[in-house]
Amino acid sequence: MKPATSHSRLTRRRVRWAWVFLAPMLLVLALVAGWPLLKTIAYGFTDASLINPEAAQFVGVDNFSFLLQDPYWWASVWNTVVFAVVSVFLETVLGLIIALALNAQFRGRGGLRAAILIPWAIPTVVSAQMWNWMFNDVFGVINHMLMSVGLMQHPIAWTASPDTALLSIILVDVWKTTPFMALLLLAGLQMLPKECYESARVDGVHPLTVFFRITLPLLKPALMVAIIFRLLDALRVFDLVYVMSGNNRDTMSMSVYARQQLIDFGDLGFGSAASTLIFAIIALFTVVYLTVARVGREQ
Amino acid sequence: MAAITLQAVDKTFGKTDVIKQVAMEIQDGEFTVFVGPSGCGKSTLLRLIAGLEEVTAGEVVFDGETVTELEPSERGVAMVFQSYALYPHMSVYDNMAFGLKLKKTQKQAIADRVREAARILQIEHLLERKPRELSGGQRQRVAIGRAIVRKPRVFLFDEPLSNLDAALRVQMRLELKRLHRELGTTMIYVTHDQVEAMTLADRIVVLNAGAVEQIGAPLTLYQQPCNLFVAGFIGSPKMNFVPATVTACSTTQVSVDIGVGAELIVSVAQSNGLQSGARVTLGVRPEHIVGSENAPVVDEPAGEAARIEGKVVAIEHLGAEAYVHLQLAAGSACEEPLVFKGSGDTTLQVGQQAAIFIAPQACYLFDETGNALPRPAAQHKNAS
Repeated sequence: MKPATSHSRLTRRRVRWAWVFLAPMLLVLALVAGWPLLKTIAYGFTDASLINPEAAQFVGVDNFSFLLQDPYWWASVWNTVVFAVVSVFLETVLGLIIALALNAQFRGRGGLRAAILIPWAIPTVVSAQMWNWMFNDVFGVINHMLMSVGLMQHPIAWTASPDTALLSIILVDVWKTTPFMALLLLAGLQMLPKECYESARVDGVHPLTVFFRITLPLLKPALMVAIIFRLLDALRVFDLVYVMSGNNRDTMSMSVYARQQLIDFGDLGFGSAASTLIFAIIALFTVVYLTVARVGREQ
Repeated sequence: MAAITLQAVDKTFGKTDVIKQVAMEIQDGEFTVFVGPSGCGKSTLLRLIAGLEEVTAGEVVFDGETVTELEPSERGVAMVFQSYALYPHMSVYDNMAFGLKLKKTQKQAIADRVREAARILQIEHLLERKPRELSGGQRQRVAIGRAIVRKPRVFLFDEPLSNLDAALRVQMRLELKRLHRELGTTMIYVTHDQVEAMTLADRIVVLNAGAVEQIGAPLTLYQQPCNLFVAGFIGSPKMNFVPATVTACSTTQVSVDIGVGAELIVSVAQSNGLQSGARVTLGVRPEHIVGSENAPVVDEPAGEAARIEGKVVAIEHLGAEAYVHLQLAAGSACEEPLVFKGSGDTTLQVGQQAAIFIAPQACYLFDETGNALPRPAAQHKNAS
């Protein structure tokens, strides 16, 4: 590699400058993400309390082994996974339908595109509270409507009843997040080559076949990104669940569980262990998903 | 295979008239080229024939059957797009077989037709590849192959070669010509490149601003352009136009003064009542002007040729020939430099004075409205 000396010197200089430019970001990331993460993981191995974290004692994996035996933890994991899978599935299907509709040419399309974002723009706490009232068993408009058209005989306590609480939360999340999904997918749809569709028209391909054989395969990369985005979001869900049903065991998500341990019970060590496990579970999901996606792409 | 007739076709997008009252007949098996500058509506016209756009008024007729209201697939057309429009997630084979598979054609029949098309286009070794693994020329072949397997009544090409490099374009041009010979199917081809139009077409349709300027065989357009637009568009480099004044006029002879003391007597088939003193435009192609460096004074063409002097302002060397731009002396009506074809080894230099000779039989005349005066038939041979 002797003749390439000057070239490699240039490369070295470029690499050095790249690090210089990256350094501020790495520093900030280390401070605001790296350090808290490490601290949380470290607390997970102690019996630290919220009142006096300095007096923490190292307790090994006690917190984790207790956590893994706690049925409430597993219930919250199950709730979260059900919530994430069902809501993301519904959001993807509905979002895709809306995106396809918005991708068509019609008058007032720009206005509609903006209008559809309203549910996404409302702060979750506000919309969750709004839906809470609509779902209310005594004053709620939803019970009123369903009873007045004769679909129900008695009012249902939507957010309190174990049968419907998780369902209500999923419905609200679908209402809120479908527009976001639709917009992500619409951006993907607009990137697709127009001529492919004209070619399909010349071939006389049925619109449904066009969707399944052309649109869907071409949209797959955008779809995969949108789904992983939403899935990671849904696995961390906190505000919606907390506002709509508080610490209800039937709907508690992993994040709500961790917060309850950490704040309400003041058990910093145990809460940190739970947070660490949430982190691990989401990381696992991501790795599995990306691996599957890559295998799919290579085929 | 189909003969195609357009009857007074109009197309408007919003308030813009893109196609205005276009009428034409395309013979069965003919290779027709639509040519014109960008924005002249040639692609829109093709899309109207394909059925990808709806006509605003008028009728599209295939073999006597009105297809105006039919979907593209029902018209039996196949289209090749500039951007190829291959399905990126399918192999070459699947791209070509897709349309047939959906029509529930038998598997063996599909395979036979795809293999046959691949053989004609010499892409048999590429059938398993994905479009992204192919070069531009190979992709274009696949796109053509996809059209061939459908056995259409008419092939429609929308600037199919514009994304290819020059050498490949020449090669593909020859192959398209060969393909047309082998298949004998009606083909309509859109291009902005007049060289492509000249080399490929049985008949050329010159379009400008949404209307047909002239329809004719390539040589007819070259020898008998009907107006200034066609004369300027067909031929490369483009025809020189010189403002001139009629000094004398009979039915078959027009004397014009081109303002530098040179007078020409141009023969026409019909002077169309031109009056002495009328303003006309004299057209002469660069390849028909004789420059002094390749025609020494002793060999000066017959007496009637006009001798014009000017200053060389630019020379484009192409190897075998050179195009010399000559600025005429001040006072001439011609502000644009005249371009003429010199020999490749011309010794002319920029800044030099040079003389050129314009033979009257090489000239075209256009009246004040830009319409050509018909040329006598004998002149075609002399001019070319």
